[in-house]
Amino acid sequence: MADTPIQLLILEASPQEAERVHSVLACLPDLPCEVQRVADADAAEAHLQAQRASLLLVGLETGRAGAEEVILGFREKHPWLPLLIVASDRHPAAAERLIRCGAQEVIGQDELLPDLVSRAIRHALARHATELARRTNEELLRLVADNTTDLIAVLDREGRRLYNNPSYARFFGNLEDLAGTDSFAEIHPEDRERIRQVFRDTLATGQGQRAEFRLVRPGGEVRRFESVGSVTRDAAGRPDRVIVVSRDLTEKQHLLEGLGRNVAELRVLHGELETARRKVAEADKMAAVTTFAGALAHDVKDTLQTLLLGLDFLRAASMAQDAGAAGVLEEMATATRKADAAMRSLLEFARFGPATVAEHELNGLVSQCADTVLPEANARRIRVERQLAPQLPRVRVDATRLRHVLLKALLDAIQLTTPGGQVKIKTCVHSPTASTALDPAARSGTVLVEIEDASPSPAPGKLGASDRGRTAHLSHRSPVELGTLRSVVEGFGARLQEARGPHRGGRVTLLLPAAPIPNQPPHHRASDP
Amino acid sequence: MDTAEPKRRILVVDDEIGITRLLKLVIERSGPYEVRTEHTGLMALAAAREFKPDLILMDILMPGMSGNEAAGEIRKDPDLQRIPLVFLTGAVRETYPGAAVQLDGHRCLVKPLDSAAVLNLLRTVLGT
Repeated sequence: MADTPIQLLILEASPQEAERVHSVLACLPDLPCEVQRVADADAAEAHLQAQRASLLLVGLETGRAGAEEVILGFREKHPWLPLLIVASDRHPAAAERLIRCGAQEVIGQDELLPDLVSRAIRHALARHATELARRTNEELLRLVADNTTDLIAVLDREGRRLYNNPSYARFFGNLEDLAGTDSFAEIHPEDRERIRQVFRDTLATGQGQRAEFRLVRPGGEVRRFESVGSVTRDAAGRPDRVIVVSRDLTEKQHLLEGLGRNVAELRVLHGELETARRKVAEADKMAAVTTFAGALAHDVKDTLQTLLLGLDFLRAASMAQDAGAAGVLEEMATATRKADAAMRSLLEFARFGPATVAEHELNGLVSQCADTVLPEANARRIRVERQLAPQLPRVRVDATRLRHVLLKALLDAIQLTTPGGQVKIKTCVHSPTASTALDPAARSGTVLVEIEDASPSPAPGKLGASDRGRTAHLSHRSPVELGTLRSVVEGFGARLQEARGPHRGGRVTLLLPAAPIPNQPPHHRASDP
Repeated sequence: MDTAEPKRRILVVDDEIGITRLLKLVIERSGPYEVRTEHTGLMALAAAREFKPDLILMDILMPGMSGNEAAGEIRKDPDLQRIPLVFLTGAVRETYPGAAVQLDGHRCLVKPLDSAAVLNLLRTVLGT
């Protein structure tokens, strides 16, 4: 029991009886009380309005008219106040009536003994505390049930409605009309039997199950619900009621369906964007043909020239001996001229004008090209590593042609690199002190792009075998040779170099003129302090 | 007495070695011609001073010094500037093979051209 004294108010008309109670209380050292006394109900009410009491002890003439009304009055006005009745007659039926009126404990006047009074006070305080807690819980549950948007119903064993929380009114109107009705009646016919079975299983096992079903509103609208049931048990421990908590999933379902449609549309859009991106990349690669066509024509025409002169020579030499051979050579010469005609048609198609030089941000161009060749790199399981120097000065180039050259050089590097390897593309400001041996024409004010492949080393003895001074590395390249790329970049004032490492891999370096930096001398490099 | 016609000297310059070999073969077999071949503009200049050709046939697009640049140097040299020079190139567009066009004041034949066109050129320029 609490150490603080019990604030005990005695309502007793008889001073003698009040004195008796007081003297008994004085004999309870382990139950300290601060006792005050009033003689009638009005005085008690006035006292309770003025100050706090932790227990009201009421002396009652049990047979007196209005005794129970007095108890009911106090209970209604002071629900937090425990009531202990000292009755003139402790008849069990009379005590029961007083308990029902709200008293926590009843003792007879003949039971005013210290032990009995002490126990009665303790019982009254404990019962009242328990009741207050129960009432608090009930109030809390009522608030939850009244304010939740979920639907809460209590059903009997047959599924009839015993209670529905206010949320039901949103779907079925007046709650009073629902009492006692069949809770399965509004379930969609196609779901009804399944839900009945879930209900029966819940009662049989005592284990609630989650279930989804459709509910048909009085106007015919169908809504989708999810519910879960749990059982309460009777005094014998048998399930006697089922509490069903349901949630309206209709809006969620609509949102999910909408979301699904949006996701599907996004997937379609993503696919279209991806297709468009691939088409742009392919178009860029095709456009590169235009850039290379002029320089490529030179190589092809030289080849055709060799063929034509060779055929002429052979034809002149064999004419006298073998008419058949001469005919074959004539056909070959005709085929060579047709090839030249086809080349000229291609050149007509791929006509391009003079270079359009302007200032551009180099890393952006390089990144575009690296992105474009990713499908080819991925197909060969080759990683394209970018090392792009920050704060590069802008470069003065023909952006379209530079992009085409970068694309070609990257695609060549990917083709030359063993699957699973790496191609590196790097940008930096040229430093005259760099160990890389660069063209003497390269000087400060030059920005570099380096593309490194990881091609296997050529066989010993093949290096330098070309009589045109090209390395064996170049002999692996496609028909658009580095010479062609070199011609293209020289057309807009850049230069191109090719080098091969001592053991493995090749490197193509583009030397691009940097744009003048405002308010700086012409040769001041961006990387200078 | 030696009645043999003196050989006319022709300098053929092209970075494509197959072309220079075949031109030398075709031209020397066709008549009294002596052909020297070179593969760069720079070497062509040195060869022209030493070989003193009657005609120079030169490609335009070559690594290092281009045919145009070499032709410019030849024009500056009083000993060489009167030598007829003909460009052979595949880089000229909108013309058909063998067509003769002017480029920097020089005659220009468009590749690919056959042996007849080459020999016809020699006769026209050298009067052989």
